[in-house]
Parts: sequence; C-alpha cells; structure tokens
Amino acid sequence: MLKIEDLHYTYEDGTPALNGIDLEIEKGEFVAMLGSNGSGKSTLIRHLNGLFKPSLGRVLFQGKELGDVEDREVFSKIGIVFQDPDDQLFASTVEEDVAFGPTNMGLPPDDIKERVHQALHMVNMQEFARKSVHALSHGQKKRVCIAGILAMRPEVIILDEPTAGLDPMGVHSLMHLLEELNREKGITMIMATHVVDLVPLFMSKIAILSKGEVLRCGSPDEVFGDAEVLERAKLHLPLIAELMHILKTRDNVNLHHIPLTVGEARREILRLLTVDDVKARV
Amino acid sequence: MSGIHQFTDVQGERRRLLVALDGRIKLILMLVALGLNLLAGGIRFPLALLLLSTVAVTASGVQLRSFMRRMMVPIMLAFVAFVSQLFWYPEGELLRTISVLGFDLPVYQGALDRGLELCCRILGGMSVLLFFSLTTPLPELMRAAHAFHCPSVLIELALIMYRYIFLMFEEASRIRRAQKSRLGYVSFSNTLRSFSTLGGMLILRSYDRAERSFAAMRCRGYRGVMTAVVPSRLKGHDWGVLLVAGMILMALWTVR
Repeated sequence: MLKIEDLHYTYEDGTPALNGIDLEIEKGEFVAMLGSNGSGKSTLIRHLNGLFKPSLGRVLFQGKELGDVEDREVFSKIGIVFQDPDDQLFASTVEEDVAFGPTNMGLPPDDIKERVHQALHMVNMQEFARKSVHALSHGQKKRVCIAGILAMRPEVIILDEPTAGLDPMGVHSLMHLLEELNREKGITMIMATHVVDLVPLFMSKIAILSKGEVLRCGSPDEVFGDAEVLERAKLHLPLIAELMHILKTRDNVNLHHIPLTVGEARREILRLLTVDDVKARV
Repeated sequence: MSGIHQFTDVQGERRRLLVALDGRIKLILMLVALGLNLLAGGIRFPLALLLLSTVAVTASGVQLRSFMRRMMVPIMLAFVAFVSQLFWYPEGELLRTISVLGFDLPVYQGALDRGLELCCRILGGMSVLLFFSLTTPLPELMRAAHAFHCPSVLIELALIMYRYIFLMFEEASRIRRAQKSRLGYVSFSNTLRSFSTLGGMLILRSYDRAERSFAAMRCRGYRGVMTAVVPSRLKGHDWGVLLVAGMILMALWTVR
C-alpha cells in the first residue's frame, strides 16, 4: 500500500534527517515507527502523506508516486494526527472541527452531518458535539482530532506520538480505540512512538529507526529478539521482557522464548510452575 | 493571567430561554435596539434599555456582579462624555457657574440636557451590547452573521481569532508561571524585563503554531473555507421572543 524507496531528507539548515529509508507497509497493518528522540520518526511520517517532499528517493501510495497524486486525493486517503492536538483543532466547537475535513471534500451538508455523527460516535465523543474545543481535556482533544480524520474516511491513519501527555488509562483507552479501528474498519495504522511497552500489545509490525535509518523491520518477536539493534537505537526491551531476559540470562530460568507482554509472561511462568510441579512429584 | 474566564462562553447556560434563543433573533433585536437608541432623543428610552438589559442579564443566569464589572468602563466613558458636554453649549437657562482654578465655567440647562442624553445613550447602548455578548457564544453569533450574508472571510477570521485567543492565554500563562517561579516578577525592573520577554516569546510561538496549524489544515484539504456553517430552523420560542421584545421596544419608543 505504502512503499518508501531510498528516502533521503535534509532540513533547510543542512541537518540530515533521513538517510536512505526503505520500507513497505501493507494494507491493514498496524505499524510502529519506534525510535528515540531525533531518530527521524516524525520527519518520516510527514513524508507519508506528502507534507514533506524528499530530497532524494520516493514514496509510493498504491503504486503511484505521492508527488504525482493530487493533494486532495492524498489527504482524503491518508490522514495524519499530530502530536499536539491544539495544532489541529481550529474550529470553535467539536462538531464544526470534525466537519472541517468533509466540508473541504465538497460533500453535501447531510453527508457531512452523518459523517460527523459517525466519527464522534466511533471515538465516543458524541456527547461533546456542541462543546467548545478549548473546554476539552487533553485526552478528549486527542479523540476529537482522530474523529476529524475519521470523518474523511481515510484508508491510512498516521499518528505522531498519540499517547504523549496522556495518563495510563488514557493511553490504554486510546490504543484500544486505534486497535479497534484497525481490526474492525481495516484502516492501516502507522504510529510513531518511543513507548516500547505499547508496541507488542497492539502492533503487528515494527520499524526501528535511528539517525534517519531503519535498522530493523519485522514482527515484535523478530525485532525485540535483536539486542544489538535495540542498543544501537538506544531503546530497551518492554519491561516485562527485560525481567524475563534477566531471569533467563542471570538466573538460568528455562524459558522457551522471551515473552514481550504480561499475558505471554504469565503463560510462560505458569508453564514453568507446572513443569516444576511435575518434577517435584517425580 | 486570570482574564481567560472573561471569554468563557455560556454553553452551560443554554437551558435558559434567553441564552438558548437563536443567534439571528438576538442579532436582529440587538441592531433594532441600538438603532432606536441612537434615534430616540431624551433620556427615557436609553434608561429603559439599560433597565431592560439589566433585567434580561439577570434572567439569563449571568451574575449581576459580572455584568456591573463589565459596565464599569462604559460608565466611566459616559461620565467623561457627560462632563465634556457641560461647558460647551450655552443654550437655555444658566443654572450655575463653577469656578475652576480661577476660571468661571457656566453650566446651562441645554448643556446639562445634552450631557445627560449622551451619557444615557452610551449606557443604554453598551448595556444592550453587553447583554448579547454575555448570553451569546461567538460561534452562534457568527452563524447568525453568516445567515445575514456577512462576508465569509470576516466570519472565519472572527472564529479563528476566538479559537486561538484561548491558546494564546494558555501559552502566556505557562510562560508567566515559569518566569514567576524564577523570580521574574519580584521587582519593577524584573517585571518589565519578563513582560517584554513574554511578549516576544508569544509572537514567536504564535508564528510557529500558525505554521503547524496551517500544515494540519492542508492535511484536511483546506481550500479557503473554514466550516459548513449551517444555522438550524427557527423554533416557536424564537418567534415568540422576537414578537414580545419587538412589542416592548415599540412601547418604549412611543413613550420616549
């Protein structure tokens, strides 16, 4: 669906941000762009909807180069949610803001109203339709931003650090919403983040970025199994995986693999307890 | 920066009739009242408007204290206007002569009448404006203005300014808090320095935010039109209030 070929980008002040990125994202995937601050995540995702033009290389969407596709078509199919919700909430009320995208698509008023209603319902903000934007909490603003993109019915949604500034419950709630949109609506999700613990819970594919390059791309098991890559990218394992890794390497606990989530760790621990229980009886 | 509450709209008070009234009806009533206030001579009509506005404000659930606080500036202006008229018009009977710094300033009946008329006109007009500003959220007012074919660019500018005023206040509050916690306002010179820094930073950050917001607008296909502003149909109570208010204004006009 999205193909990035040898992407290079240098900022106007001469700072090289991307140094030859190659990546492919299939339809329906939930992809994490994982990297520390300054790794190039935000710069990369701004290329994915044509906001930034590459210095070298190209981005293909459904086989066509982004630069050759009309902006109108690109922006209606690829939505982007920025890190700071105040950067993309410009109307006075929630429903007016969500209606912004569909209005620009030239839809009739009835269609706009329907889309706004549906989008707000999807993010559970229908009660706030007439509320002023400035009266919303940070988490509510994030949801409205997502609703504003959903109202345009995109095929791809790109999110730049969507969990930034949210409390743990807010993070969980937002991630479940995104996962639901990916699973039930088939929307391809691309998320730039440095929150390692979230990734194995929700994402099917991870691209590790460091200094403008993709160091490794694959499933969570493949990527987190490569300790050298994690070190180069200045990342660490998810906390539960870190614990299990220490148990395996320092305490010689007989783990089949390093679990990445609490659920996996629980199953592995129960398996070990059952085995030990059997051994003790024998 | 505590002034942000001054701009808080009144969504929470929508349950009250006068606040829930359609913006178009309010706009019509406001313009008619202001027009009649300008045309009516004497002091009865403007004073009646002042009284009516005060009652309407209280009936809308707005605190009288809040209304009076906002009226302080018009009251001061009205007083200045009153005083300015007292000594300019040698019309009618001489009422008295006021001696100021060795100068004799005569006050005539005509000048007093003019002064009172101007003063009351200011108070009447401003009370009407304040009533509407306190009971009508800006988005609703802009919807009404759009219905009356006000140029879209003005409406969109007003709506964008309304939205970003709050962001600017928050940004200014954050900067000020940070400055204050580092002794930025402990002395007059510190205050001057910190305040000028705050002003400069606000400009820079506003520019940055404008760029980011425009990028976000582009990503949602912005083509120069902000929103689909569609006013709803007028309801029964809208027509009812228009009729009653119109009758009251006519009655006041006839007894002016």
